[in-house]
Amino acid sequence: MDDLRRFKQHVETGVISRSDGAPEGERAERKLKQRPAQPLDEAESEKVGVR
Amino acid sequence: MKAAVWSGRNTVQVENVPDPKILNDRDAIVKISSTAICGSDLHLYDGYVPTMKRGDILGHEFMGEVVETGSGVTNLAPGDRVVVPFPIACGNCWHCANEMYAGCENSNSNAGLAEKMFGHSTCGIFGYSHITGGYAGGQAEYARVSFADVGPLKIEDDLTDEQVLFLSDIFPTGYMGAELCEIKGGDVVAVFGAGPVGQFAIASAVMLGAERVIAIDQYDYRLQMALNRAGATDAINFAEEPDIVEQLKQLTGGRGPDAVIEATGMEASHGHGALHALERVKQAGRLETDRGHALRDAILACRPGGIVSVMGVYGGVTDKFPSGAFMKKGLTLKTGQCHVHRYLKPLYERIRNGDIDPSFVVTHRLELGLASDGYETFKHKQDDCVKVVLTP
Repeated sequence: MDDLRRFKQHVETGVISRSDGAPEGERAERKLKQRPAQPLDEAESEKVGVR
Repeated sequence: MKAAVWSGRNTVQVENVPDPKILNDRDAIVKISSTAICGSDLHLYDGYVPTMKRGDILGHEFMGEVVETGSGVTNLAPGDRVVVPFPIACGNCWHCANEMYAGCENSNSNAGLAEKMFGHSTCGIFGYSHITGGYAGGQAEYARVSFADVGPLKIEDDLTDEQVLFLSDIFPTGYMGAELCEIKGGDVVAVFGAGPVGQFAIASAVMLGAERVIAIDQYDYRLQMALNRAGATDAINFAEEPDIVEQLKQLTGGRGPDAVIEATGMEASHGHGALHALERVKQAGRLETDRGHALRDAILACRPGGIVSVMGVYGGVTDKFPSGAFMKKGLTLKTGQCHVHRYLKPLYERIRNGDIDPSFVVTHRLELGLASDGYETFKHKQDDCVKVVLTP
């Protein structure tokens, strides 16, 4: 399901929606373990693969 | 940077957090010049909205200056002054193409959570829990704005922040509430709640041609603002006389208002202390998430064949929905998170034309560092508070 959502996002918008709480985009395993909705520090940015 | 973060029920703290960065090509970073506390922020503050997490940056009403843009944002440039709508909308999906931006299918990064709760996902929203995406809000020095090529409205004249800030939410929300009423000349519109959204619903109903607009609240100072600034013709204070339905009948020759706008939401109050206490108990016991006083009275008060427009925020389920009155009277129930993008330019024009100066609702101005005081003052209606604006 997550893959379908990401595919739709990519096709329709050209990007994957990344919030601060779910910076990798929609992922089932992230649902119960959200990070706070605040900007990522450098280490977190690197970990989730955003610049 | 400094930001106001949710730290548990009834607790907001201003903390140092990392500065936001561009995460997507369609992002922009905005340096906040003004941000406001919304009545719906109080639902978060009071702990009624699930999926909040300690450390979440609050705030979905904000504006400021663009300081950085992603490569996909070609309509904005650093230095632009913008108001940011609270719904995050991609501009590409079916709902966005049909101007139902609050139903955006792509902006909620936790769409799966929202589907479980609501049947379908709704749009992402800044600073409004993880069920609406988990986006950091704008009660901060800076904010990352997703899909910045679609949402922000450029402000290109010398209107003050307080004149345009409320385009981000409460002015369009109040306007949409009135628009949903399909007002015709001679109509009587009742507005439950004379808070900020209620004030704009009243002002909008007047702009759209209602003959009479009846404001309903339990605080005289808010009713005075409704009468003297927003344009209400009548006022009902249900702290003095709790039977709102009867009072509306008396004011309308027994027929009831042609349309009713519900601008209170899940924390509505009731004039009868016992009834109010019962709802509080049910809410505390999780027998319902939303107190339904105003929704019920709106349905009971509206004339047969009329329209009930619900702009107050509801998050889950409410007890004793008056389905009999709803059906037997043939009412039309309309509602929704505001499709703010749809209204940005037309309402901006109304401000520029002088049809309305939205700054009339502002009663308190505080530095961001005093956000906690702002929440307390707003929550407890201290010092005749209607609207708090924070400046970083």
